[in-house]
This record gives sequence, C-alpha cells and structure tokens, in this order.
Amino acid sequence: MTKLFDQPLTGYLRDDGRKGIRNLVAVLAAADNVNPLVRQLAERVPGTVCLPASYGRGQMGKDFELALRAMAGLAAHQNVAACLVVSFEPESSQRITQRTAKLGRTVETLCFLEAGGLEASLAKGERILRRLHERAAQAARVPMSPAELVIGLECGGSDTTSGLFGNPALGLLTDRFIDAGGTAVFSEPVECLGGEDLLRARAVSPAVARQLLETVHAYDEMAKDNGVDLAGTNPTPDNMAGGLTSIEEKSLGALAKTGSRPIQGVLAYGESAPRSGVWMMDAPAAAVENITALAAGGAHLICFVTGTGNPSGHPISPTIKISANPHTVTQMPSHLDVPLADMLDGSIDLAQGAARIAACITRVINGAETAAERLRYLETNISRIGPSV
Amino acid sequence: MAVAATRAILLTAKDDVAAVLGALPANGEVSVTLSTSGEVQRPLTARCAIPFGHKIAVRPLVVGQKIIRYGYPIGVATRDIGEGEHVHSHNMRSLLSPADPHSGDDRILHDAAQLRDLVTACLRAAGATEPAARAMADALTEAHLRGVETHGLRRLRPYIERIRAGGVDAAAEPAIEHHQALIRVDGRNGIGHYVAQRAAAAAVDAARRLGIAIALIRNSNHFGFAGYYAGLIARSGQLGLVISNGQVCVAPEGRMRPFLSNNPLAIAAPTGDPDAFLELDLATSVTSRANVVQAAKNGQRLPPGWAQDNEGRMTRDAAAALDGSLLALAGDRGFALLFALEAMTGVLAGGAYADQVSSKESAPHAPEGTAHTIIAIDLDLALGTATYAARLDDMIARLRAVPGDAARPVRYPGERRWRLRRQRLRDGIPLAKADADDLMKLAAELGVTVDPALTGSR
Repeated sequence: MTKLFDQPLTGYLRDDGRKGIRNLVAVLAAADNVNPLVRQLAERVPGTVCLPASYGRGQMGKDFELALRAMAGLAAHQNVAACLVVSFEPESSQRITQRTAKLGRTVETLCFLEAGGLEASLAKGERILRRLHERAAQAARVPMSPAELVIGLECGGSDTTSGLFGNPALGLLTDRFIDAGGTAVFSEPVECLGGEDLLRARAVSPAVARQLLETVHAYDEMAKDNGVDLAGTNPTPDNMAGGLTSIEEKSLGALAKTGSRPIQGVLAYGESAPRSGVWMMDAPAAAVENITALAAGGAHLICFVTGTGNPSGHPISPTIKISANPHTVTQMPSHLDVPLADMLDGSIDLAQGAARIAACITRVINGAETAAERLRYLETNISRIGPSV
Repeated sequence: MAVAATRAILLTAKDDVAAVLGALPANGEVSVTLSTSGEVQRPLTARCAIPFGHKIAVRPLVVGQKIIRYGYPIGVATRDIGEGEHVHSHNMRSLLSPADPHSGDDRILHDAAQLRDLVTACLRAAGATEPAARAMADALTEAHLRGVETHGLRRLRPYIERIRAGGVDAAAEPAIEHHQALIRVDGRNGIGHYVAQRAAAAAVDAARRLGIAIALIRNSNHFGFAGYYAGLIARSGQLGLVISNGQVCVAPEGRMRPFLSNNPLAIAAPTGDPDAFLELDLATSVTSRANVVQAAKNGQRLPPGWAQDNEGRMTRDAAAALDGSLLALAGDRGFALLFALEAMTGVLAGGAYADQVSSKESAPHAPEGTAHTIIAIDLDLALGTATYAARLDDMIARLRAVPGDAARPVRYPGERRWRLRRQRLRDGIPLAKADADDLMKLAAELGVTVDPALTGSR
C-alpha cells in the first residue's frame, strides 16, 4: 500500500493548537446592515477575505442560533490567521466573540456606531486589517499529520459518473484517510433518503443510528409540509434516463463518497466534529449553503464531486472539484482540480482515482490554489431555517 | 472474441447488478469488473439492448427479491429477472414506493431466521415462555417455508389475541407421563405448537429405545400444520404419524350442523436426500375452512360438493357454508375415516372429542381442549434408516418412471413443500405487503423492536 499523501503535509499553527492550511485574514459582517462596510474594507486591503452576511436582524430561535454558530465557526476557522468581526452596534459582534473565545480563538471587532459612521469605520478597520496582515505574514508552515486534518465531502451536479466513479473513488480515499486518524464530514441528509439501510449498518451505535435516521426523515417531513414528495419525485426523469431506477440507489451513490467506516454522529449546521472519524452534518444540499456549513464546522478543505459541473468553492475552505464526466472534463477543464474521465474505459482503476485525489489534496494543503480559488469563484452563505421578525 | 466486450462496473462483490459503460446491443458481450478490486468477473451476455450507465443483472433474481447495489438494497424485483437482463423500472421498484396495484404481486422476500426471531419476540411480549415462543415461531415460519401459508403468520394475531383473552395459557408446561411405549401428555391448555413439539420429542426419544412410541395428547390447542410435527420426527430419522382434532366444521351428509373437525392426518419419513422428506399432510374435509373464508371474502362461489348450509343442503354460497358445514373428502368413506381418526385422537387421549372441542369464535376465553395423537417408529430398529431411505427413494424413482405426459411430472407427497423450503431458505420468504405490514404493526403494538432489515422500507 502506497502512502496516503505522497508529500509531507504542512500547516500554520494557531494559538489554540490547531493548524490551518491557509493563512487568511478575513473580515466578517455580523449582520447585513454592515455589508457595505466589510466589502469596502476588503477592497481597501487587498488579500482580505470578505464574509458578508445575508441576514442578521430580527433572527430568532434555532435560526438565530444556527447563524451565530456558523459565523463564529467561520471567524475562528483554522485557515483564518485573524478575523475582524464588524457590527453595527456592539452587541452583535460581542455575541460572536463570546463564541469564538469558546472555540479557542480571539478575533478583533469593529463597531459602526462606536467608530462614528462609514468614513471613521473604514479608517479604523483598515488600520486593524493591515496590522492583522502584518502579523499573519510572520506565520510559518510547520509539519501537519493527517490526524489533524478535517475534510468536507460534498457532491453536486451529480450524474451517472458520480455514482460509479467520482464518489466511489473519493470513498476509497476517505476510508484510507479515516484509517490514518483523520476526520471527514459529509452532509446533505436529504440525499440519504433511501440509504437508511446503509446508515443503520454504519452507525457507530444504535443511538447514533436513530439520530441519523431522525435527521434524514426530518427533511422528508419538511418537504412533505411544503407539498413535495421527495421519494415520489426522485429519481428525476434525468436520473432515470441516466440509469437510476430508485431513490435508494441515488442516495447510495451519493453516500459512496463517505467510504465504509463507522459514522460517529450528527453535527449541527456549522458545528465542529468533537473527535476523528466520519460525521454527518445537518445541512441542506444547496451547494453554497452546504460548503459554508462544512467550512464553519472546521473543514480544512472540501472534496466536491461533480458530474455535470459545479463551479462554487468556499473562500475559507479550499474546494477541490472532482469529475469523471468526459464532457465536463473537456468543456470545463479550468473548473476542475481532479479529472477522472479516464476511469470510464478502465485506463485507471478506483485505487488510482483515489490516489489522484490524494495527490491533489496534498498540493492544496501545501499551498497550491484550487480551480475555484484561481478563478475567484468563491461564495459564502449561511442557511436560514426560520423567518425574521 | 471478434468484437470487444462492453465494460460493466460492479460496485461491491455483493451486488446483483452492474452498470454498463457503453450502449450495449442485444446479445452483446459484457466484461464485468469489480471496481473495489479491479478483478474481472466471468463474462455475461446481454439479453437485450442496454443503454450507457444502466444496470445489467449479474445473477438471476426472483420476484420479490431485494436487489443489491453498493452492497445495500436499492429496491425489489417486480418480476423474475434473468442473468444478463436490463434492470430498470420495468422489472424493479423502489422499496419506498408502493407496488403497482395492477402487477398483482407486491410480495417482498423476508429472511426466514429474522421472521422467526420477530415472531418469537412478539410471543415473548405476549407472555409466552421462551421455549413455547420458539416452538410456535418455528412452526409458523416453517409453514411459510413449505408453502403452507394458511397456517402461517396470519394466524399470529388471533393466537396472541387468544393468549391475551385468557383462552390459552402461554406459560403452561405440558405434563408428560411415560408408560413404556405409551406417553400420556396433558397440555394444560398451553400453546398447541409447544405441547405438540414436546410430545413429538418425547415420542422420538422413547421410540429410539423401544422401536415405537405413541403420544396421546389432551388439553392442547391449535398446533398449526400437522406435517410440521411428522416432519420433526422424520428429521430425527424416524417415521412420524400425526393426527389432531380441532374446531368442529364437518357434518355427515344431509345433517344440519357440523359434528367433527376435519382432523388432519400427516405422515412423514426420511428419503436419501437430507433436505427432502416424504410429507403427507391432509385435512380430511374436501377443502380447508381457510379456503371457504377466502371465497367468502372475495365474493366467489364455491365449487360443487364442498359444503352444506345450516339446513343440511348442498350449497355453493361461501357465507352459507361458513354458517353451515364442510363435507368430508371422498363422501361417506371420508367421513368414516374421519370418525375413526377421531376415535384414535380425542376419544383415545381422554380429551375433548368431536363437537366437544370448543369453538374459538363462539368462546374465545374457553380452553379448546384439542387432542393430538403422535406416533414415532424408529427406522434403525425396523430395518435400518439408510435401508428405509433407499427403499423409499426407489419407490419414488419407480413412481416417476410410470409412463405418461413428461410435461406433467408426477410428484410424491412433500416433494413440492421441501423444494420450496430449500428455495425460500436461500432467497427468503415472500410476504404480501399487507401481511408484512400487519406483522410489523402487531410487533409495534406489543412494544417489540423490529430488526430494521425486516421492514423492507422505512
């Protein structure tokens, strides 16, 4: 058996002992009312990652809790050397700093009202960001082991090749990564509908099995409440033409990317895994919301299998695009990091496909840009699960 | 091979289907690769054209069988599927979607051992002792394995209702007294399957020492299908004979109410094949009561000669027949056989006989007082078990050699049952969705956790 990663891995050591694979300085809006400020700040200080908010005013209950958890997760991410949290009034950023402190990271804050309007906030924020960049530049890479690594697993724009090649190849790699002590997080419980037998078989305990099934079926109920019968509308006519007959095989094809190791439990949206192994995160399937959840949950990077092609990457978690669809590989090569179309004719086998993904992961960890980073096709957006008042 | 074979990918070694990686013509050659190992499996021939990415069966599948892909069920076969056939919506459906009401077959195969465990758990929850629960669960499961569905799981709910109504003592242990080759058993109103199983085991032990033993059982209850107990004896290398009485349902011709039960007679013996037995098992009425109940449910008319109404007149109306009586097989001679069988069952055992056996329907709380007679003959002492089996095999061979239409082979008693049993042990027991759902519902009512693998759906 060859080594899992063909080169030594390196990362930036953070105060809390974790290591990041990027050395980003970020500016995060605590609510949508300071988005113009954070956008202008990011423009003034090049190289700053801008994390605007979609909402933030009048959120409540579980929805508000989810938003705070995710924002804190992004601000405290290992790939972020330093983060400036911007809010309109002090309370909004304080709620986030309390949480980042619990996660072991300190962040800077900037308050629009306290600074006294846009111009003063821009001047103050720019000073802070320049200082953060200077400090970040001091950081050096240190050795990092696979056991310190968290990988997000995602698929989107799936087709026949995803279920046959892309996801199984990623699944094989996931098994080897887990055996090396790593942590992998998949999500999209809605795409596990019909894969219940697998979830039961792979749950680390009966209690976890119940939790997995409850999480999956909650999406089914939610869809039914909104008049959508997921089991009745899946597979779609496109899927059927591609050879899928049942929702079970569609889900098992998606779950193939998670390998075969025991599933440790269910994480809330944007929650970090408490220990190594495979975890399911409760996040919707929409790609941007999904990669945002995985990033907020501390994924160093995301392996994203696509069939027909999906360009999105997350600004904080480098997102590796993998496709075995020959058309996508030919038509959108600049959007792909790991082309696997040669698995179709047997030129490379599953193990070689997995090795190709591993080699790409190694390069990306050690600093190489992903296709999405290179193209700046990066987006962040936290899911909403409730209304504002 | 002149034309290169089309590649197909098998995702796990357990999978029943592979995905073809090219547009495959009918009779096209397929080379199947197991993706996890890269190992090339034996070649297949496509029975029909199969589009890119679609599934081909790598082994034959039977209707109701769960189809495995990615190592897990992705649905169920809605018709028999041959090796090399295209598998898609025309012959498979999701386990989450209801069966096509027009297909006429919504059966799903269930693992026999898992069903047996579930029935055992249900009976334990209803108050049965572990051995009694196991005895009934085994008899009910064997009924399905051997195609005797009338004595299978559909009876579990009424059995449990009777236990709960106090009509059957689920915790009772039969009292067994030995008098040389004669064994007297008081069932103490226990579960009939358990009482009969214990009596059969006692008869087998005694016959091994004495050459023959007869167990006379009183105060028992309905014990399922008689062939099961004769079969237990045959599986011990002996010849078994089992008679039982039961709820009254057969009238003498022209009489206005039933007088006897349709006492079943079962005879079983080992053949040279350890998985095949002679198994005669017949009720002595023209047809079983279950068939009349079914006809009444479906609004069908009965064939002539099956039943009488409560005025003693021949009827073809199923409802009138249920209110009246069944007729014995073979007319007066059948009734005479039935009378004699009761003389060596209820009368001989010292239990209830003829119309003394209590009706489950009219008196759900009262003990039935059912009697059974079980005889075991030790073949080793008779002429040697192997010699007996060889002679029986010879008789079967000679039966098959009797000239006639080769397309309609003649069968010996038990041949179909034991062939079905081998097949169902391998593939699973087909249960109609309504029956499976009712079993799961019963389990839930009893607070029994169902092995999720059994539910076949969410």
